[in-house]
Amino acid sequence: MVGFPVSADWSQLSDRFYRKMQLYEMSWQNMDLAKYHLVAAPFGGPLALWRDERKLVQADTLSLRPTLAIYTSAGRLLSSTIWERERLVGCGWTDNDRLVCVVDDGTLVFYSLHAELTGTFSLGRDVRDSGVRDCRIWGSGLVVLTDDLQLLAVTNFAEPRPIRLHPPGLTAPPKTWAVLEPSQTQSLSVEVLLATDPSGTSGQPGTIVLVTEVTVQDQLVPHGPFSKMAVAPGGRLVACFNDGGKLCVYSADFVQLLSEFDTKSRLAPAQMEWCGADTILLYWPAAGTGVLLMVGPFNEWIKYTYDDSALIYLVPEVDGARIISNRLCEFVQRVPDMVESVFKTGSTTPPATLYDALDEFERKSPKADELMRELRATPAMLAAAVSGCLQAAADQPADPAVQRTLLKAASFGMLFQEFAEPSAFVSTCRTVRLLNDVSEFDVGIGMTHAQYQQCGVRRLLERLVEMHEHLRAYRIADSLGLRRDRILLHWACAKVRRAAPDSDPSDQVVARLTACGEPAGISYAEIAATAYRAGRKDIATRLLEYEPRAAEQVPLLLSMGAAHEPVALAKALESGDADLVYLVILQLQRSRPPAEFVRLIRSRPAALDLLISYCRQQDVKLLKSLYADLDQPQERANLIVFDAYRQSLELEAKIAALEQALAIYSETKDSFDAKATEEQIKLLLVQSEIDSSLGPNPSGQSGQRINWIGLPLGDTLFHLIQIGQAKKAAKLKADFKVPETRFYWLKINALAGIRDWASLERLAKDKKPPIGFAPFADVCLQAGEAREAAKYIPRISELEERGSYWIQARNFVEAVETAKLIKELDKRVSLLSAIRSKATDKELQQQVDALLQASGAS
Amino acid sequence: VVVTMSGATNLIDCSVDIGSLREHSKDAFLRLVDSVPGQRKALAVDPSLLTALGLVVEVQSIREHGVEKIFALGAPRLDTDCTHIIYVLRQDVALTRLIVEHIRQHVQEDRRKEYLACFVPRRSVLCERILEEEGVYGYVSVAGFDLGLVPLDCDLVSLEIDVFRECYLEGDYAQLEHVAHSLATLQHMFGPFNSLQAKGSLSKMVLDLFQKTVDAAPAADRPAPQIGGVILIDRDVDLVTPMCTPLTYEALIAEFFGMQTSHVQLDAEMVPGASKPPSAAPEGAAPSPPPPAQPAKVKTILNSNDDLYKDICDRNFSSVPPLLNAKAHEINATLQERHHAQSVSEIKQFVAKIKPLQTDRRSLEIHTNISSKLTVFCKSEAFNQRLEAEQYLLAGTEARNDYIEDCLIKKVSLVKTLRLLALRSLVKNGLKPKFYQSFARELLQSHGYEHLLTLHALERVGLWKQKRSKNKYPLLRKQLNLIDPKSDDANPSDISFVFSGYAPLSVRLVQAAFQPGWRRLEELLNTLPGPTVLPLPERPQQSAAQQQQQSALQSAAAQGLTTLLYFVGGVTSAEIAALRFVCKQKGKGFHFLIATTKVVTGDELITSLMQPE
Repeated sequence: MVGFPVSADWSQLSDRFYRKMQLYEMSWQNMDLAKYHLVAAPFGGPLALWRDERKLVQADTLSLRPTLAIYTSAGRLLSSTIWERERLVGCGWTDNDRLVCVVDDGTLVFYSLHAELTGTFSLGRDVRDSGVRDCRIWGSGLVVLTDDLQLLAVTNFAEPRPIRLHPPGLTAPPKTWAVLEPSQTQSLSVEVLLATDPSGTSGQPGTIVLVTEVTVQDQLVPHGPFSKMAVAPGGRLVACFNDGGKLCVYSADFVQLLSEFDTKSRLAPAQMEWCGADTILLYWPAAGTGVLLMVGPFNEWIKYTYDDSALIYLVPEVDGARIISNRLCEFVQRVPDMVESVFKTGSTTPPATLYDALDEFERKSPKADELMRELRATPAMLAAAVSGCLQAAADQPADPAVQRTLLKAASFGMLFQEFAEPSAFVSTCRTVRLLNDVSEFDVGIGMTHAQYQQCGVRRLLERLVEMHEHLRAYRIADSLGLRRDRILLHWACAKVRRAAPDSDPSDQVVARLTACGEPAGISYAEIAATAYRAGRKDIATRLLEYEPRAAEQVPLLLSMGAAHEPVALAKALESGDADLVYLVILQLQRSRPPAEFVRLIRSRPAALDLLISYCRQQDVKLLKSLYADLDQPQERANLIVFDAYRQSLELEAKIAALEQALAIYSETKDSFDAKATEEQIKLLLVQSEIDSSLGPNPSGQSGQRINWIGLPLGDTLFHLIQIGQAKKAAKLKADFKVPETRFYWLKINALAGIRDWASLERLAKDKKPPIGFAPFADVCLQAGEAREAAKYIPRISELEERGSYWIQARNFVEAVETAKLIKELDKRVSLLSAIRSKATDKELQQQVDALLQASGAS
Repeated sequence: VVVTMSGATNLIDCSVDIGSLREHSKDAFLRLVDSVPGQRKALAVDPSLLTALGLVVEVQSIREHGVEKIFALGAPRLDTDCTHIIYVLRQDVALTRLIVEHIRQHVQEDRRKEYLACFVPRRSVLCERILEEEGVYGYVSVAGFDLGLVPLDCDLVSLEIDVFRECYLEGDYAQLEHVAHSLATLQHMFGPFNSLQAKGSLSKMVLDLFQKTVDAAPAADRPAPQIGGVILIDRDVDLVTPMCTPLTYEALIAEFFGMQTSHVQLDAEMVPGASKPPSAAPEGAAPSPPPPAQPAKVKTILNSNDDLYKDICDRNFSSVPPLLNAKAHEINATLQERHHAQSVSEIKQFVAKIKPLQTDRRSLEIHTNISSKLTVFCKSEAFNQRLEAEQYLLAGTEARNDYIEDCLIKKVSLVKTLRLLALRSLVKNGLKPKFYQSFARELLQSHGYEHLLTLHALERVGLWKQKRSKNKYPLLRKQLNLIDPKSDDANPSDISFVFSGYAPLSVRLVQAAFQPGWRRLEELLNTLPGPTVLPLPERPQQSAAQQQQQSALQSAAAQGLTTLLYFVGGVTSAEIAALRFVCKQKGKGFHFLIATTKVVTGDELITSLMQPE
C-alpha cells in the first residue's frame, strides 16, 4: 500500500481540509517571473508570458525586443513571437485556447498556441484615439477601460462587435475593477464593477459603481475604498479588499455582506483570487519571504510562505487555484469529499471501510471479512462504498498508485454486490486513464476531475489538437467513441500549413484521411482554404477537387482570384443552390467589365435566369441592356412597358416609353403586340385630348371628376356615353373597331347607370340591337324599373325567355299569355310551373293550374 | 398579432407523426428567439409568414421566451421600447429595405437596438448584400430559420411558398432547393424512402437536388420508415384541374371567400361569439382605423379539429345542406333530452354532453351561415353558365361556348375570364388564330392594354397559346377516363364527384401509379409535359405474369407505409378531397401524406401572373 497517509499534507480550516499538491516541476530554466506578466488558460491550460515594461530590466539578461511566449502548465515552451505592435495592455485566453492580446490602440490580436496570428479586430476609432488603459478578459469576451475612462465591451469573440457601455462618469481612474461575464448575470449582459477612488477630484467616498450597457448605478458599499476585487467562480460572490486591510465578501448585488476578515495588513495584496467557491487566496510578495494567505468562509486562515524571493502567480480554477512559481506548478484545493471520506484519519464511512477491507484482505487478515459483513448489511451501503471509492480515484489526480488501490477497492466491493453495474467502473477507469495521460509532463495539462467535468471532453480534445497532439487526441476520441473528423481536419490543416515550400503533402493528406475512413465529414474545402491562406494555391486547387459539397468549394474558389471565378460559377450551378450562384454572379459583376460579365453569364442559361430574376427586383437598367444583348426583343419591349406602368410615369414619358416598345415590337414577327401598343398610345392621346377639352367635367353618376387617362377603352366609352358625348364615343368606337355587340352592351349599361330611360328607349328603336332585347330588360329590372322593362320584354323573340322575363318583372298575366304561345309541351309546362311557384294571385293560380292540366301535367 | 394556435390542427389520426415535424420547427424557432439575450424583445414578422408561423408556435410560447411585442413587418417605422428586435422574413428585397429603414431611423434618433435579421428558410446572399450596401450590416446579426413544411392537417403539409410564379414565369428556381430540403427533412425524420417517382421539370430538379443532399449527409442511425413511396408532380403537368370550378365544400369556400393557410376571412356576423372582433390588426401596422363601411371580418381556421367540418369539407356541396339539417336535428334532439332527464344520473349524463354540444352548435352555426352564402352563389345564373361552359369544354362538346364571349362583352371579372380562357386554351391545346386574336383584343379593350403583359405571362406559363400542334387532351380524356357522365355527387363511387363529372387529371395519375402495368403508365406519362422519372421494374418484363408484379411503390403501400404525394407548384382543395377519397376507397392501412408548396385556387394562380403586379 501507500507509504505514508494520503492525508499527511492536508491542512484544516475549521471542519474542512485543504491540500496543496505539486503538479509539475517547471522545465523552464532560469525563469524570473518577477519580470513578466503571466496569464493562464483555465482547466490546467497553457501560460502566456510577456515582459512587464514597468519593471526594470537588465540589458544583458533579456533581449530588448519584447517577446510573447507560450508555455504549457509544466513550463515547456510551446512557442514565442516577437511583439512588434504598440504597447501590450493585457492578454487573456479565449474558450478555444486562443491568446487574445489587447493593444494600446484598441486592436485585439488573436494568436494560436503556436503563436500564429489567427485574427485581428479593431475596437474602433474612438478607442484608437483615446488609448486603452486596462482590460478584463474572459473566455468569450472582454471589457476595456480607455484612457478617457470609458468602457467598451465585446461579448462574443466569434462575432466581435464593440458595445459601448454607459458612461461611468468617473473623474479619476478606478482603484480597481472587475467584470461579471454575461453568463453570470441575471440580465445576461455584461456588468462592470468599478471601485472608485476618493482621492480623485470627485471627493465621493470610495464605493463600487455598477456599469452596464444602459445604466450606471452606485452600489453604495460602505466599507470602501477598495483596492482589490475578485469575482467568485459562477459570479455569485465578490471579494473586496479595502484600504483598511479588511477582506469583505459580498453577494454580487452588494445587498449582503457575507463575511469580513481583518488581514491586519494595510498594504493591498499584489494578487487576490478565489480558490474554489468559498476560499480566497491573498498574496503579498516581499523581499525575503512572500506571504500567501488562504482565508476560508468562516474567517479561519492558513499562511504559506514563499521564500525564494521571486514572484508567484495565482491562477483560479473552478475547484481551486494553480500557483505558478519559478520552480513549481502547484495546485491548492479543498480536499474533494470522497477523498476526504476515504482518507481522513479515523474515517469509518462506507468507502473508507471498503478501502480498509481491501487492505486487510491483501494482508490475508480475517478482519477483511468482518469489515465486509459490516458493509453488506445493506446494499445501499455497499453501493455507496463502491461509488465513493470510484469517485475518490477520479479525484486523486496524477497519483496512479493511490488511484489503482482505490479502483481495486471498488472492484473488490463489486464482487459482493448482487447486481453490480460495471459501467460506472469502466467509465471511471477511462476518465482516470485519460486524465493521467494528458497530465503527463510532455503534454502538461494537469487538470482535476472536477475541472474535466466542467471543461468537457470536446474542449480538451480541441486543446490537444491545438497543441498538435493529434495522435493522442485521435486515440482518446477513438476510445470514447467520439467523432474524429475535426481532429483529422485539424491535422490536415496543420500539415498543409507547415508544408515545406517545395513539397506537396496533398497526396499524403488525402491518403491518410481516406485510410481513416471518414471522408464524409471532412471538409476538404477547409483544408484547401488553409493551404490557400498559407500561400499554397497549388495545394489548394488540388485539394479542392476532393470536396463533394459545392457550398464549401465556391467561396474559396472566389477568394482565389479572378482566374478561378468561371470554375466557381460552374460548381455553383452544378450544386443547384441559387444562393451560391448569386454569390458568384455578384462577385463577377464587381470584378469584370460589363461586356465580359454578360458574356460569361450568357454562356450559362441557368445563371442567366437567376441574373434576370435578380435584375427584375433590383436592376432594371441592367436587364434592359441584357435583353438587348441577348436579342430578345419581345422581352425587352415587355420590360419597357412593364416599367412604364410600374413607375406611373407622366403621360408624355409613358407615351415615349410605349413608343420605344412599339418600335421594338414592330421588329418581331408577331404583329399583335405592336398593334396593341399602337392602340394604347392612340387611346392615351385621345384620353388626354378628352381630358383637356372637357375640363373638370363631373361624371353623371357621382359628380366626381373622371380621371380619363389610363382608363381601359371600354370604361372610356362608358363614361363618354354617360356624360352625353355620344358622338365622341361613336368616333372612338369606329377608330378602335369595337364590336357592335360590346358597344351596345356598354351603352345600355351606361344609360341605365344614369337612369336615362328615354335614351335607352331611343337606342332600342334606332335599329334592331345586335344583342337582342333581353339585356335591355335586364338593366331595367336590375334598376327596379319593371315598367321600363315591359317596353322591351315583348320584343324578346324567344318565347321561353320572354316568359321568364315577365316572371322577373312580376307580370304574371303576360307570362301566362306568353306560355300559351309556346308550342313545345315540355317547355310550356316548365314555364307554367315557374309561374305557379312565383305567382300569389289566387285567380291566376287557378288559371295556371287549369292550363297545366290542359297541357297534360298534374 | 399572430393568430392564436388554439386552432392549429391537433394532428390526431396521423399515419405519419407529423406532430414531431411541428415540434422540430417550433424548437428551432424558440432556440432562435433564445439566442437573443434579454427579456425585452420584439418580433417583427413578414406578413406572409404570420399565419404559417402561428400554426407552428403559439404566441404564448413566444412570449414565455421574452418576446414582449409581435409586429407585422410592413410599416415604414417601428417604434418600440424593446431593446432587441428580431426580424423574421422571407428572402424579400422590399422587406429587407424596410429593415434598413428602421435601423437608420433608430440610429438617427439615438434609440439604437440590437437587431437580428432572420431569413426564412435560410440566410440570403442577396438580402445580406443589401444590408451591406446600405451600411447597416454592422448593426445586424443575421441568421436563417427553416420553417419547413407546416402541418395544415393530419395528411396535409405545406411550405406555403409561391413556387408557381417564380419557377414557371420567372425561371427562378431558387426555391426548389427549399423543396428538396423539405423532402430531405421528411426522410430524415420518417425513415428512408423506398421508391421515388417524379413527373415534370420542377419535380425532376427537386429530385436531383434531393439526391445530392442525401449523398453528402452523414449516415446517421435512421428511424424506422413510416413513408414508403414518394410521388412528385408538377403543377404544370395538370393545369386543367385548377382552372375548373371545384364543387366540394372546402374548395367552394376557397373560391368565394379566399383561403390562406387554412384560414378564411368571414364577416363577423357569420361567426357566433365574434360580435366584438378581436383586434386582428397587428400592432405597429398603419395607424389608420379600418374603413367603417367594410363589415368587420373575423379570421377563422378551418381544419379537421372541427368534427363537423371534417365530415363535410370534402363532399360535393350539393350534399352538404341536407347533412347540416340532419346535424341540426340531431343537436336539437339531444337538447330535448334535458326535459326527459329525471334522475340525477340522467342529468349528470346530460351535463357531460353539454360542452361538446356547445362546440357542435357553434360549428353548425358557422357552417350553416357559410353554406347559405354559398347556396346563393351557386344558384346565380352566372355561376351556372360558367359551370356549363366548363363542362362543355372538358367533355369536348362544341355546342355552347359563347359564354366566354359573354364574359368579354359584359366585362366579367378579369381573373374569372382569364381562367375560362386558359381552360379553353388548355383543353384545345391552344386557340385558333382567329379566336386568339379576337379574344386578346376584346380583353385588352375591356380591361386595359397593360394586360398585354398578363397575356405574355400566361403564354409563358402555358395557360394561353395559339394552336400549333395536335391536341392530346382528347386522348388523355379517354385513356384516363376523365369524364364520368354518371357521377353521383351525394354517394360517390369515383373521384369525379369533386367536379360533378370531371375527374381531376393529377389524381388520375396518382391512381394510375397504383395500377399494374408499368409500360402503360410510362406511355401515359410521356404524353404529358415535362420529364418523367420512373424507377425501372427490377427485372425486364417478359411474361404477362411479371407484368402484374408490384412496383416498389405499390408494395410499400401494401405494407402499410404511407405514400408521400408532393405537388410542386401547388395543389387545390378539390384535388385533396379527391385524394382522400382514393385513400378511403383503397381501404384501411392505405395512407397518403400530401405535401405541397402551397394550397391554391385557380384564381390565385392566375392572379399571381397578372402584370404589372
